[in-house]
Amino acid sequence: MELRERLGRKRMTSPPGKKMFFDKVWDVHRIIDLGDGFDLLHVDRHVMHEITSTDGIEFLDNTGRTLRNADLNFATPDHVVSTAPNRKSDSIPQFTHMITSMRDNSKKHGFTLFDLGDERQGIVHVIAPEQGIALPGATLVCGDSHTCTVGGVGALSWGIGTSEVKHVMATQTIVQRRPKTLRISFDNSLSKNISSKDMILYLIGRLGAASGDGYAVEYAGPAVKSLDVEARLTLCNLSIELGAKIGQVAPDDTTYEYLNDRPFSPKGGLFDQAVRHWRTLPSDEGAAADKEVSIDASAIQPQVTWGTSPEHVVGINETIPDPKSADSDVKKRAWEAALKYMDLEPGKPISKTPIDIVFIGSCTNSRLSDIHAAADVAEGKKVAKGVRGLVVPGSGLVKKAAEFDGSAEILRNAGFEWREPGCSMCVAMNDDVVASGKRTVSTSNRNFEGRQGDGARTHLASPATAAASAIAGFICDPRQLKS
Amino acid sequence: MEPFLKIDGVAVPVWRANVDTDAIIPIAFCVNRKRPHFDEGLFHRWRFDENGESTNFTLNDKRYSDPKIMIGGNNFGCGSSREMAVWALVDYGIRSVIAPSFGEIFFNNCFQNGVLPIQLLEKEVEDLVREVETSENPLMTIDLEEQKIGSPAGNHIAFDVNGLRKNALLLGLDPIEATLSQSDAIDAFQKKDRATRPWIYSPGE
Repeated sequence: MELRERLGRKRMTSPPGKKMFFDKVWDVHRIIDLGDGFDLLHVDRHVMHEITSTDGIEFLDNTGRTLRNADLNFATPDHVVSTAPNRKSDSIPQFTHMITSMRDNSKKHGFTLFDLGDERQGIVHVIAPEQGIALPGATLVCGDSHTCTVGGVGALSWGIGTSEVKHVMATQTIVQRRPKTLRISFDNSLSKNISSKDMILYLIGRLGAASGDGYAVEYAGPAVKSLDVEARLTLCNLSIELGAKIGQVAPDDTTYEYLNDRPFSPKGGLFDQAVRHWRTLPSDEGAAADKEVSIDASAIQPQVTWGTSPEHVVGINETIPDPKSADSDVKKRAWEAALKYMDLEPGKPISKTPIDIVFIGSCTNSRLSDIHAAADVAEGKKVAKGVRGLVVPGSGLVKKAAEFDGSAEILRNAGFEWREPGCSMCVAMNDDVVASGKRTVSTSNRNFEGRQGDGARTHLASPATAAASAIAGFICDPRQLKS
Repeated sequence: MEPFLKIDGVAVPVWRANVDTDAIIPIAFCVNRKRPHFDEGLFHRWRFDENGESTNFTLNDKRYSDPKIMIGGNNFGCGSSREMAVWALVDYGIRSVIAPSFGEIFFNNCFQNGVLPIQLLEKEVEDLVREVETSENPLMTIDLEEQKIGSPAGNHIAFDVNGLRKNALLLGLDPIEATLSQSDAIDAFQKKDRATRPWIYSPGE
């Protein structure tokens, strides 16, 4: 993004009375205008996992403070938990204290905990919408950058650091600089067998990993409207990989239907009242974002990353790019380093690259529809010899549903490991680690150096592409396997 | 928090686009650790090879020992929200990072820890990197009050900083104390908001 654009805060103006979705929601939450572009905002929901919340609770204890609104705080362990069958709190001894202290803190401070052993436990960004904690037009923060995920139900959500976690705990508010708005319109329809993961990777490849910096992104257009809520969550999940800490899809009937009757959604008359409010939130006809981008959704092919930034992405039938064609010195150096790390040669096709591991899971792609997409490809086939395939459902409820409808069995019969819910190989804190020099196709969101283990080589892709690659033994277009 | 006034010290370049917070501090160094020991994890995978031997990464270069300033490429600090990335820099002695653009959460986390992130044009940063790389003494100064950088060759570069953030850094303000002093405004907001959005305040009812 242009420096002056970021610092200048020059805004395009909408016609009088016309507002963007983002602006309506932001304004509802403003408690105090702090000046210089900053506001004190109300936080409607604070969600915690065991890594970033521990310091926050310690801070409360050390300063004799309490959670200002315990009812609005929710937690689950996900990052460090084992995903092995029959896992326990002490399955990984060096992390046991993080899980047990969360349990103790929940009793002491009164926040709701979805603990290990509870079928509602899972990855924070999977369970927040699943439980109806994330709601349209509600602010939701969490000490985790992928909190943008739940913008898929129309929440105004973003990831925060530990200092901000403490602030939220003590005050139920947050000091934020108002971002500008960027509307990305996906026009036309997606081709058959193209997922929202392909949409967002394609977008990051086109615009770059820093292009969303300073913006709240709204995904719009017919190809977004026609996505179900789970696909919208995947789309919003990688907003941070686009450089934007906020990504949203405006709520509509698809959203309300999804949220109706979730455990923490409003009930009865209150739900109807909420829907009436939610219906007022989408951007007004004629309102303008600070920046507008259009993407032809019909041009999108299955995407796979080749490098160590999510912007290092190509269509599955394309070749690995040459650093000589990079448009700046700093980018050229990054491409060279990425190719060296990934042990890939420029000019070669990305497909047919042999792989060692396939990981289907993470807050990006571990919901029931993702499991179904993988099972559709894997049905009646076998994971290639020498390839390890892991499927890690995003929550206990996803796991249960997939076991009930038979998709878990299809994947197990194909030779995939079927594991317990958690962040698993996306963050690689537990035993789910890619060994040095090994190559993985992963449905997660980060292909950074060492992200999935020291020396691990990550190719990001959709669940269908990941499953197809597991069966082929190399990076493979799922459409080839299906036909 | 320690007020931020002027810095005078060695500047080290990490001249690569999209340096992510996983690179700045691998996740294994983020847990079971207290301040000020996060520096042990700083750029661990780039400072050491798989045998634990020092690499030729700039932080291992004697010319850049004891740095106070880091110069990075665009989108510096992208990725994970882990504040440990900033803690690792602070524990190592870094008080300012200069780059063409930053990961937004990292950018914000810097201010929370008395670190000044400075955004310059890519050309300006590239020129600074060249100067630092070719200078015998890669020393720079940063004056927040004057909003000026002094390069190793003695050039001066002006930078922008948000007024509210500048003030907070100069005074070392604690944002939690500041907000707690506004408790009445928060109470009033919640009371009014509860009437219009009751479902927010009683989840699941």
